[in-house]
Parts: sequence; structure tokens; C-alpha cells
Amino acid sequence: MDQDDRLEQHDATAVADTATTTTNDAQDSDAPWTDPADHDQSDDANDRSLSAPNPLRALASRVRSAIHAVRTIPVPALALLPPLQPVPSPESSTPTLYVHRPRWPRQKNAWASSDPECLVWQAYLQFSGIPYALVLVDADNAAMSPTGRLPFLVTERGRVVALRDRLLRYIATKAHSDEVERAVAEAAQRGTRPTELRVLTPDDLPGPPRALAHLYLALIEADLWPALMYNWWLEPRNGLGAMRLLYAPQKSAWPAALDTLLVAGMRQHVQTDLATRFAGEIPPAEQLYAKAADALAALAERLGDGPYFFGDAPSFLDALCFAALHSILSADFPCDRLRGLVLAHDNLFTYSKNIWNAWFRKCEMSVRPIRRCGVDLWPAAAATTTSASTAAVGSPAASPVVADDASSVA
Amino acid sequence: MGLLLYAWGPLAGPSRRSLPTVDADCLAAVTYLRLANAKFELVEHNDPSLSHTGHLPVLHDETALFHGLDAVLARKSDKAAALDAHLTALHKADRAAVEALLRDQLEPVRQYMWYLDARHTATTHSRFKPLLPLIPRWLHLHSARRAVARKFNAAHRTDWLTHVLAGDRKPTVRPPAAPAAPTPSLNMSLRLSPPAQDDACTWSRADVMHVARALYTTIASILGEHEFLAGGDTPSSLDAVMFGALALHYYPEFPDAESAAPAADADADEGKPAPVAPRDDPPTLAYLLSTEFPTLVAYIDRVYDAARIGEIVVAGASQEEVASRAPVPVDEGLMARVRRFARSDAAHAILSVAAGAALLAGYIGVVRAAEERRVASAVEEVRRVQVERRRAVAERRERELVQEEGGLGADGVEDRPVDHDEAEEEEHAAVVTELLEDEDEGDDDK
Repeated sequence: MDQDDRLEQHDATAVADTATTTTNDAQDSDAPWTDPADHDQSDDANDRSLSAPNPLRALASRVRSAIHAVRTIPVPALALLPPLQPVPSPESSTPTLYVHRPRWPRQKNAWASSDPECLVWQAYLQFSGIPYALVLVDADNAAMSPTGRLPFLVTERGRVVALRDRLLRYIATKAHSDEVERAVAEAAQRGTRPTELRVLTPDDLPGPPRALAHLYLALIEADLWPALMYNWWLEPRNGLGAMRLLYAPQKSAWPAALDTLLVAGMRQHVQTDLATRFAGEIPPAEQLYAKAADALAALAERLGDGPYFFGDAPSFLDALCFAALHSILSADFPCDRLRGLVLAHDNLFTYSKNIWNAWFRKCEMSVRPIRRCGVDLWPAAAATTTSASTAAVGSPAASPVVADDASSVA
Repeated sequence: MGLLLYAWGPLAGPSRRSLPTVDADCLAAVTYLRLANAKFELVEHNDPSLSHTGHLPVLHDETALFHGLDAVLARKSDKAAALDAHLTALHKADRAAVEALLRDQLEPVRQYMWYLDARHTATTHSRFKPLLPLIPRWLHLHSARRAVARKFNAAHRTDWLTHVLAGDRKPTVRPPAAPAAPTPSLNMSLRLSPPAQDDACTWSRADVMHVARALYTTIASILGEHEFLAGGDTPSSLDAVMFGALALHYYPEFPDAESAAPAADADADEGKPAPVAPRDDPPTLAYLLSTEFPTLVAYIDRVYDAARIGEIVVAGASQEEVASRAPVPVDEGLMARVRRFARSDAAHAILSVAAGAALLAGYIGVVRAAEERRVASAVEEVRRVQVERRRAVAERRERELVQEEGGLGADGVEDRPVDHDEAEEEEHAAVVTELLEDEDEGDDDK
């Protein structure tokens, strides 16, 4: 290394006069390189008290020996370290969604994520009927995404959709294509899908319901979602322990102490986003929860008894509302004020439960494993999913690839 | 004493009709109180740190203080109950949603037009000139501009409705491809401060106008054929809140030749609609409203007349009036004062200057420490060499002494150490200069 050479030069000029008294150990190439000052056995070298003790010199020599020790680690062991910037590799022509691994302890469904944002994307994709595959990712591999955060979607052409506006546009264009419409009709006939009706964007609705959709989207985004994020990430009574359970990777090459850093980094992102939304200062918790209570009352009022907000067809508003409610209801944190606020309205609880049962609980999903250096990680998790999924029906060109995956996994 | 409402000062500069305040929340509170027929006095107070929430208005009645628009609307009184008597539960639910829509979508659009549109920033500065002195004005406008820019820049990450409203339209300016690119060394994207989202906004005005058009369509369809929101012929608190936001879209005028809206003919031909083709990039929101949404314009005027906004007298901030009025009930506790100071613009200015000074001092300290270390190590080298030479000289002397004792007498022994000392000092000086020069050359190489 350059640093090493420079330090050696420096040593050489300093001890030029004592070269006659040094031993020749430094010339020996078999033994590890050592500091010639350490082997200096002349009198002046032993009288170190004459020169002021130099801690920097001692530190430098220790660093040099550590670097040399690392050099001697055999190269294959380096493959155990996680790669620096893993890149997702789409293997089939089915769009693939990368989400956080679900970590709710009592959830039997193995693929519905426990992160609210990932759940929104998953619910919206389910409602739209687009056949897709899923990859469950631990939080320490979030660097796969171009924004550094999950969820993100790799389309069938290999493009990465990580931003919300691109996702909305992608689903709007893809879900209107013929093959997806056919798939939706067939799945509804077979019973895999509860209903063939769907409202993709509020623009599909006529005038007054469209305005209502906009209104209540604004309500959830402005009042309910910030309260949810605050309660999960910034509430002092909850602390980081709950988030560590949900996001800290279970099997990672890093020591567990770094998980706290990872989760703290995610919390910093959430705090920045909330500060941006509230133009600088996040309002106090009481105000956030009061607004959330009003928002939940308004949503309960508007929902009534219907299975969805707009008739019998699930829409994006249902996806957002369901994700928020399901996350609130599933969380078992020390401070569960939001859960109490939701449970005060029966119809919200029933609504969330019905959507879960119809669209998530018994539905099948093709879960792909993460491939790293040609090795499948988490083979045990993938074996619990079945290969028969809507993906096989949707695109015939994709089915042999899906089947191969399933067979290699199972 | 009655009710005192502390709000921002009146709207200065060109406007279609006079407005008593320049802020949307304050205007909503004023309209609400007027529609409820409450007797109140509007006091101009241009310092938002008065409020616990950091936003004006603040309502002071005999018993308590209400900070922020939400508290003012939630204050219970007979007149408020009478105002909203005809609202059903569904309407009340819609009111929460309408407030959220206005706060989250309509206000940022208006703020973009005021603070981020290059053509209109001068007018905005002139509107705030009678309200604030130079430095607080500059600080306030700067922080407002930065907040709006950050909100729009982060919209692809934090916002769904903005993109739902934008619909199929591809934005003309793409946001930076990877604003939060992960650090290449570790798998953790740990960042302790937000990335550089400065005043530059990645949204173009055409996109913001597109979102505005979708918003106005939404509001128009909520209004429908009725005179007021909530379906009645009498206004309610819903109308107050909506008017507070919309009036600032429509009434302020921008003295731009392009921005002159073709509204003069509307009175002349009442039967026929104005045949103005909708532009893809209207210059102002008022232009967009007057050309494409006449129902909304009529609604805004209707609420203005119902609340008789034009007759409001703003109690100014002149010295005599301030002296005659009861002192502002400001919390004098230490923590409250600290909090108020921390929210004020002066605190931001002081903090940034102090941070800059601390950074500079730290840098200078680090550079000085490095220099001292270098000099100390050079001096230490010199000392070591000096000690070495002394020992070599001492050994030589011993050897010579041994030889001398073996050969000559002990006479010439005392002379030599003296000579050696002088020679040593010369050598020492030469070595010092040589080593220090070498040190400098070494630095240049690095």
C-alpha cells in the first residue's frame, strides 16, 4: 500500500544512523514484516525515555500489523461477506416485487410484508390483477434498490420502478393490457380472485366518486399515515426495539450491534420525510393522534358497510386504507393508541379483516429466493410456497421459467 | 374585551378584492368567525412564534388561548353550533378530508406560485414588505421557499395523491435519478442529515398547473350545482375553510402582461360562455380559474359577499394601538420563551452563523494541531540524531582515551571535549536546518 511504503521510507530516514545496530530480521521475506524499531537492541533504542513517547507511532505500527494480518486471510472466505451493492437479477418475464420480509410472529401467511409501504404496493398489485412474483428481502439488502429503500419492482423488461409515480403509471398501463384483463377474468372464474371488478385509478370512476377518492386519499396521507409512522418509529415509549424486531435481519454476516445502526438509519429517513411533509417541525404527538382519530372517524363514516369504498370494486384507496389499518391492527407495541382508535370503529376492523381474508390469507404467491453468487439464500422459506399461482396462467412464455424456479427451490 | 384574533397582516399589492390577511389559515379563521356572526377584533401580528403550533392564527377569548386553525375551528360556542347545524355526520367527515386536501395539496400549489415561480417572487417580496422588516422578511420567505421546494422534490417518495392527480402526464423535469444513492462502502444507507435538497425544485410550472387543474376539477365536482358546500344555501365552516385557501389563489394579481386574465368580458356576455381555449401552461392560478372554472370563481365571490370580508377593519400594529390594547397574553415561562426563540427566524440566523464559526474554528484547530505535530516530530528527529551523535562522540572519546592511556600521557585530554562541544553546536544547527528543510520538501511531495 502507498501508506505502508511512505511509512517505511520515513522509518528508513530516521534510523539511518542506527542501521548498523539493527538485526537483519526485516530482510527475511518468510517471516511477517515487523517494525525494525521493535528489534532495535542498541542502548539508545532502549532509552526511549529520552524521546517523548509517541503514541501516534505506536498506533501506526499497530495499524500496519493489522492490515498485514488481514492480507493473510484466504481469499475464498471473503465471499462470506455480503457483496457491496447487490443488484437484483430478473430471471423471467414476470414483474418481480422486492419487499421487506414479513416478521409478525403470529402471521401464517409467508409473503404479506409487515412494512406498511410494502403492503400498499402488494395490495395494489393484488387488486390490479397483474401477475407478479415476489422476493422477500432483509433490511440490510435494501441497497439493492436505486433509492436505497424497499419496496421496488422490476418490470418484465428489466426496468426498476422504485418511485411512487412510476408505479402508478406502470400499473395503469399494464393493467389495461389484454393479457392482464384475460388473466383477471379467468382468475375470477376459477375463484382464485374474489372479484373481477377493479378500479385502478380514481380516473376510472365517474365525477363525484372520483372527487371523494381524491379527498379521502388526501385524508389518509395527511392525517393517518404520519400518525402511523410516528407511532412506529418516533414514539418514545416504543423506542427502537419494536422496529428492530421487524427490520433487523435474522441471519446476516454483520454483528448484531450493526443492526441498531441500520434501524436507526431507517428511522432517520422516516423523520426526514415527516419533517418535509410538515414543512419543518413535526407537530407534537397529541396533535398527530387527535388528527388520526378524526381521520379514522371520517373513514368509518364514509365506508359504511360496504366491502370497499366504491361499491364492489377494490381501488387504490382501499389498498392504502387497508395497508394502514392492517399495520395498525397487527402491531403489538407498548404504545398502541392507534390500535384503540381503530378498534373503536367496528366497520373498519371488519373491512380490514375481510380484505385480508379475501386477498391475502389463502392466496398463493410465487416467492423467488434471492440469488447471491449463484447460491440460493433462504431455501427453507421458499419451500413453503406453492408453484401454482396466477403467474403461471398469466403469461405462457413465463410459465416454464416459473416451473423451473419452483422445482429448483422445492 | 371580546374575541381577539391575532393573524398576519392584510394583503398588499395588486389584488382583485381586498383581503384582511395574507395567510390561508388566518383567512379561514376570519371567514369562519364572520360567517358565525361572532364579534371579534382582528389584530395584525406578523410573528408566528406567538402560537404554540408555530402557525398563526391565535384566538384569544376571555378564558383561553387557541393556537392554530384547528383549535380555532374546534372551539365550542353557540354560534359555531348554529353555523354547522345543518351538517350531517357525512359532511363532518368530509370536512376533515377537505381540510387535509387543502393543507396538503392546494396550499403547496399556491406556495409554489408565490415562492418558487421566478416571475412572481418579486411580487411576493413586495407583498410582505409592509408586514416585516428586511431581515425577518428575507428569512421567512427563504424558509418558506425551501420548505415548498423540499416538499415537491420529495413528492415521489412521500406522496400518492399528487401523482394520482397528475395522472398520465409525464413530468417535464425528471427528479434526480438516485437522490439517496446508497453509500458504496457499506450496505447501510445511514445518513444523518437530509441530502442536498436546496431551493431548486425539480417540478416545472406546467406540471404544477396540471395538478392544480385536477384539484380544481375535484373541488368543482364536490361543489356540484349547489350554492355552498354541504349542499345547503347557507354557508358553513366547510365553506370558510375552502374560501381561506381558494381566495389566495384567485384574488391576488400579478402585474405581468401575460398574467392578465381575460375576465373583463364575463359581465358583458352572461349568456354565452367565454370562448377562451384552455392553455396548457397558464401563467397564474387566477388565469386558470377564470378561464376554466367559472363556477369556482362564482363560489369564491359568493362566500366573500356572504362573509362581508371587505368590511373588516384590521387593527393595525401602530404604536398607539398596541399601547391601548391589552398586552398580548404571552406565556412568560422559561421553557415557553426558549421554545418561542427556537422557532423564530432570528434563532435560525444565529444558529447558522454559530455553526459556520464553529466549523471554521474546528478546521483551524485541526490544521494547527497537524502543524504542531509535524514540527514536534521534526524536533524529535533532531533530538534523536543529536543524542546519537553525542553517544558516537562519547564512544570515540573513550576509545581514544584508551589509546591515549596506552600511548601518550593524560595531558591533551582536557582540550578536546571543549572543541567537540563547539563543533557539536555548529553541527546541531546545521542538522536542524537540514531536517526542517527536508520536512518541508516531504510535505510538498505529499
